[in-house]
Amino acid sequence: MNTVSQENLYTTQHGEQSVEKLSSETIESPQTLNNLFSQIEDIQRAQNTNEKGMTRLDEVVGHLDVDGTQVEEAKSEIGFNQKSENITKKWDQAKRKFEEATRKAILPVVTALSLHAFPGIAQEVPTEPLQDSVGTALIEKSHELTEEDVFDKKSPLALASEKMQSSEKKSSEELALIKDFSYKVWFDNNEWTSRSGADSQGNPLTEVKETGKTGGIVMFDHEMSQEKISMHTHPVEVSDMLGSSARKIRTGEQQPFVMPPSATDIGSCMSNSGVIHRVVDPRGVWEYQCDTQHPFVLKQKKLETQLRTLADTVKRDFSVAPADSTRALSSVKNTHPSMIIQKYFSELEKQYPGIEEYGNSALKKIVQENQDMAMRIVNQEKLGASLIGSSFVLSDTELSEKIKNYIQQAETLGVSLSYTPFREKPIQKEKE
Amino acid sequence: MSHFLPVDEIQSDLQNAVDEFFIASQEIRKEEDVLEKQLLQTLEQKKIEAIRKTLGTL
Repeated sequence: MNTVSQENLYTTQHGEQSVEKLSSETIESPQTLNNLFSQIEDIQRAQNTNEKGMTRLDEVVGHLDVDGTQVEEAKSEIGFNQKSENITKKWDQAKRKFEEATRKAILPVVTALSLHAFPGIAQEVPTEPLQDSVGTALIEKSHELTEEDVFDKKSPLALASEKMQSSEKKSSEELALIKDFSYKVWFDNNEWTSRSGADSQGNPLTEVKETGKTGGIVMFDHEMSQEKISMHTHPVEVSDMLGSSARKIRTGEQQPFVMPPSATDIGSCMSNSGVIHRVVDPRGVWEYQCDTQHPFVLKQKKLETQLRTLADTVKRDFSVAPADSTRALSSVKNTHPSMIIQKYFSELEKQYPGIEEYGNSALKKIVQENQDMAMRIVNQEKLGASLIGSSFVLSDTELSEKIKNYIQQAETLGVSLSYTPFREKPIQKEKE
Repeated sequence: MSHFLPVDEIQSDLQNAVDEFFIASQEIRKEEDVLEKQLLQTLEQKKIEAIRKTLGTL
């Protein structure tokens, strides 16, 4: 794995900076979450072993030394069987309600982890257009990053175009892809599209995106370096979630923060395990890769297969016409990636009655089977999200410890991560 | 695709599911206890009646 310079790993070198206090909620310990998961497991374990108060009844009756006829008579007198049946129904109802609620809560986690299971959905559907965001620069194998690369320097598109012009290796298909991507970015209302995966020959693509109001471009690996790198920035239009925007960072209204790969990124990494992944956040660069033989990664692959089969089966069983599928896809473009599959079924329901229930029913089973995996991802995501708030309130040393913890936790999921802070504090512009 | 999942919301939904289950299970256990006691009392009564009958025939 090509790691970005190890020298600065875990160590931020921004020096002292003013601290914006955030609520303690943003740096809540994941211990609370672990306790919650234990409670859920306890409930499910008790349900599986049929642990109910009534199970001790036989023992007590045995001590009374009464025969079976007397017991049956007594039961009949008080309507025991009917009441007992009602109680069993209530247990089943409570259990179903609990399972339904837990499934509903973790469903987005399961689908977020396996977006690549729906190539016809996840890769074709553009995300929201970007308004403000941190820009990225082309990162080459030996290039040492500075903050200046990430915030404003020369347009990545211009740099990428230079490389395109100098390259004589591109096939017409490759050119078509590049043109198509550029078109989307530049002429289609500045729409930002994530285009990762493989080209028609199966070669992984390297993503290079410039954000904000400019645009981006996709490049192929051999044009960039010997290694296959997929890269994007954080935040990517997450201002609503953070309560601040990348523009505020640029103008100095907002201190820069650490923002690691998300669950979706980790899932994407597992789906493209031969590729080096990078996330550039306002304070440094995350680099990560997945171990293809790690049990968690293998399980994610299985999940992906399950979901892919589900989508194919549903379409086949309801004889969904390709045009209808495409139409449904275009309706889900503003949906959070983790909710795309459900929204997709919902859209198809308008023309194929019953498809939503059919699809969701099968989806529920898959979610239930992968609950443990989803909970571990929630834990990781919680740790990751807490780094954002921690960036404002912790010292560099404390923050480094938290980053280290996040990295160690990721290792248990089969993800090797490193974080290299920028050497210098971001240069912030005058307020615009 | 770089959006963080709404982990707080997920956590809150899971916590609600757990809390609701605990509340429901407490109610159901109460009903079980009542039924159990009812059956035991009936059996005890039957046992006492059987003993009385036995004593009465002596």
